[in-house]
Amino acid sequence: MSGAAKNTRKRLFLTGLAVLLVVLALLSICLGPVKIEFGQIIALAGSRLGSNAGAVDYAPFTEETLWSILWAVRLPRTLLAILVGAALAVAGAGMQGLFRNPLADPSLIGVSAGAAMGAVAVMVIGENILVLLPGWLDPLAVPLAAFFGGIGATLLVYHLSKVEGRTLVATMLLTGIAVNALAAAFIGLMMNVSDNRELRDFVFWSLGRLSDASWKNLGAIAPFVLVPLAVYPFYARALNAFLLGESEARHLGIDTQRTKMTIIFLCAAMVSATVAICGIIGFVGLVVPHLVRLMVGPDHRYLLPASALLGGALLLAADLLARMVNAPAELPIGVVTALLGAPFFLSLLYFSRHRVWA
Amino acid sequence: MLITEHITFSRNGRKILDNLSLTLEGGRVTVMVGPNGAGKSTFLKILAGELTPDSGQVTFDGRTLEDWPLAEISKVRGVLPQESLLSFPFKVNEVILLGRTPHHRGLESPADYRIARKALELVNLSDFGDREYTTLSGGEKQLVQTARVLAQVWETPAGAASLLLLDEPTAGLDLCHRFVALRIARDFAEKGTAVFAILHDLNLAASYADHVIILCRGKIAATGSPDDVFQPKIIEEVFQVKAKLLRDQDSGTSYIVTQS
Repeated sequence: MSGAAKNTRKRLFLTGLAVLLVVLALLSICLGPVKIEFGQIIALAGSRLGSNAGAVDYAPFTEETLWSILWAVRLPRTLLAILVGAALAVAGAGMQGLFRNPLADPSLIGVSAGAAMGAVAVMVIGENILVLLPGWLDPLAVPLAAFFGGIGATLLVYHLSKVEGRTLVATMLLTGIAVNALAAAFIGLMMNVSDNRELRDFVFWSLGRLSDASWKNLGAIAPFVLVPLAVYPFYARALNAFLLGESEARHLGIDTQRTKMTIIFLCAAMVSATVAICGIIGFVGLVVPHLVRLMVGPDHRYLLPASALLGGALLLAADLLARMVNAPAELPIGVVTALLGAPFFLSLLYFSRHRVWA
Repeated sequence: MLITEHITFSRNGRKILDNLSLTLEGGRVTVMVGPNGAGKSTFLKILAGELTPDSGQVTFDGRTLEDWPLAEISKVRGVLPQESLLSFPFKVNEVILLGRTPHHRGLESPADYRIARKALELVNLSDFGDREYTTLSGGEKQLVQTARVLAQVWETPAGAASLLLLDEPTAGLDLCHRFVALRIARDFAEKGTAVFAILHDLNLAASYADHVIILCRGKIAATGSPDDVFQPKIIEEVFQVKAKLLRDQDSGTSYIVTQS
């Protein structure tokens, strides 16, 4: 049978996604209030590496200005979009495999909200605690607090909605509603005790933003994202078996307890890291794995890498949109993903309303 | 060979299995029948390692279940659950290949593909390989799940024991496919596998079982060959129905007929 041929098609799809990601990344670096041309990027990079490629016209800007835009603004932002998109999409795919339900999106079931609570707590009251900690921990304080909040929310929703290996879908989504409401209230409370500047900062953060991209922030979240992204593929086989059911997976030789805990912890790590820097960016974890499944099916060996690539590409595209629509002002990216994602979610509910999701 | 000794299991203070000792031998089909709530599925779950008995032990191929590493026993023990809830759009081929999970570390070998194809042939669904699992009928899904479990224990290393645990393998199947499913169970037994199945149809049990166990309220009410066990008196007592044996003159086979 065409097992091998089909795998070739899937690999082709992965390659296509990688190309898409690279193209969008270049666009994201080039486009903005100041347009940088592709040739200029090459020349800038070349001159930093010491090879003088000859005269390139940087007018009306100087080489220094363009370089600092490229290095301090565009590049970190592009990388942040890729990291965050990949993290959210893969976390969504992992949650959906674990809950055996395609509606399990980190932002819907409360993982993001839990992380947000943790992050807010440190942002507002943390300064008093931070002095007690060693200095090198400073940049990690918010991601770590978000991580504990995210873990708490995930364990909560997991234990409430999983009964004897089955997922109670209603409970899963309702737990999400409760945690989201709690987080909204908590954030509202914190806003009350903030001054004007903090307030504005909070609002944009809670709407989901990429504007806080910097090398420092990238460094703070990179381990939380890259380690899970590297480990998840080792659980592709286990997640595939999980789709049959938890006891079925056990009968197929999968250590289900270890799989569950690993998936939950790594998912919380990825989501929390993105929430700490970018706030809640919804629906990426719902939309991306769903689109990928339409193309290559639910096999996690392809679903996970494809979701990472498409998640990065999608967030780059959404960020370009957020930057361009009303330039030089920018929309919070969470607004863009919600505008696109919520109708998608509704259509998913509409077309599956006759289906019983167990 | 699988041996259970003095298995007792309670839930919420109610004794579900009471001191159950029995042996499933390789090369034989052992069928368990009994009224609803007799503890049949619980017993199967204990054999499958899903539940741990309060007391007693299960020994498979000379080792107690706790001594079997999961990765090892999953190569020789297949479990077909009563119902399977798979709601993701796998192709039928992919579902059956999942049965080969214990045999590879990440990527299936050509042998895995070959076995999956043969397993699909065995359940008469050769043309279904590229169909989407979620679009199949209930009976077809059950057959695909059966093929998945068969693919899991398709070939065992020489000298190693293998075990098939089937919880109502004929549920939801039409008349013809009931026979197909049980014929396959017999074929596996002939190759040396110990087959254990829970059935509700006594006549099906009678025609395919080597050994029958009637379970009633967590205890063995009768055990032996189908002829020994399926006596009107025993059936009336256990199932609370009227029963008699009718003999078909042509084949010489006896059938159990029941009335309320």
